[in-house]
Amino acid sequence: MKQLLIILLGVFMLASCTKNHDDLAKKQDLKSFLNYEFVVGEQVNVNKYEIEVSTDGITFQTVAYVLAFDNVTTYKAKVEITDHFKNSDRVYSRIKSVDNDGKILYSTVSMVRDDTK
Amino acid sequence: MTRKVLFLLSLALMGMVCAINAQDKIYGAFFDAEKIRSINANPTTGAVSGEWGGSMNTVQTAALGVGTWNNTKYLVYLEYESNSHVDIWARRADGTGGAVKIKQNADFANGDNDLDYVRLGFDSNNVGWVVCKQSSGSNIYIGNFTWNGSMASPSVQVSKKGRLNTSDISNSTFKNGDLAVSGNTLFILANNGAGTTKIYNVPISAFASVTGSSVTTINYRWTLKNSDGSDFSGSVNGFAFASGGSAYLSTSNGLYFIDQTTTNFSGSGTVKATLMKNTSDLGDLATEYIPAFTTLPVKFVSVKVTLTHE
Repeated sequence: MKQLLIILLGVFMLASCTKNHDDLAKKQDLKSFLNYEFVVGEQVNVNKYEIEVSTDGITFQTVAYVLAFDNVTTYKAKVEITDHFKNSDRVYSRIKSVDNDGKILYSTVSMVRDDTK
Repeated sequence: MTRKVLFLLSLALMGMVCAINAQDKIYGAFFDAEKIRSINANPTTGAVSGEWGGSMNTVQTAALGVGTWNNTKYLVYLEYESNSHVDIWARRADGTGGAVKIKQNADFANGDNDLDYVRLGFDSNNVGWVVCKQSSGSNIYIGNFTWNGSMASPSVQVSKKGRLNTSDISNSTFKNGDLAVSGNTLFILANNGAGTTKIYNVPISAFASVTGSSVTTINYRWTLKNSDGSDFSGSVNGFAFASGGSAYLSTSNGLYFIDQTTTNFSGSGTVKATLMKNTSDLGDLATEYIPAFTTLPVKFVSVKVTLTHE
């Protein structure tokens, strides 16, 4: 009986390792994306909106931007996460508006957690 | 984690409102008794406290500025002369001492004799910028001056910077108005006395190498309205920045506030101002604040971010 339990446990561990290996391989094949939808109440003289991300919420870097249009108030963007961001379990993000005179305004900071990590 | 997020939110807000004061001091030139008076205001809400005080005698002026020379804050203002030149006056902003004419017959417009001088503001280098328009014609002129800060031996250097055109072909709006500086940009208020009120701006660098015969186009930015969306009645005379980037506005009926973070917008390019204090005979406004930038006028309503794996 004891031997049977050991064998079953071994089979289970082997199956589990194989499954984790398959999941890991599958996860490594997947690409991660941040999907943005932001709404501006009004915009005058705005040139573009830069998307900034950070792993610590302190140091941000620009990863993409969308151009501003006078008659558009809802913007959507899809940004692939690469490099060290892909290994972090959370990503901080904010939108930076840049007007034609170089003046800037930041949105509040959003944090998204990657529950797969 | 919560503390970290709050800290981050605080950082974002700090980026929006740099060097904001507990209270701003606003100086106003009054038409009725040729006085300059001051009042305190909350730079975040625009709420004023107390009454206009610190009354100082002056001359009839519609162009008032404030700056600091040799660690002393001075009010500087223009007095119209019959030959369309202006005299430049200065006095201590704390009300002590008398006023001194630091420059007589300053000419910012190549000898044009048909001018209204109503716009004066100082940049961060203590350069005074003056914009004036022909009373009956459409020419708008710009020039600047520097002062050595001495009341005993004043020295003022005037420089003509040519004419201005408006990007929306609206020179006729320039009857009443003012000038204020944010960062390295001039913000110019124009009001036609019949409701139309606009703000234009132009970077100071645009005048780096221009001459008295140059023509520079200034950019239409916003139309200003009352909080109910209506045009202002009477004349709109003053525009000055609050310490954090919001702005104060004066009409012949009162003092208004434009909140950069909760500005009510109605239609593209329209900015509404809220009446904070009824005041009659209020002319030009001036503050000493030159915010690094003003966030007017954009407002984030919502930002949603989601993570997907594909």
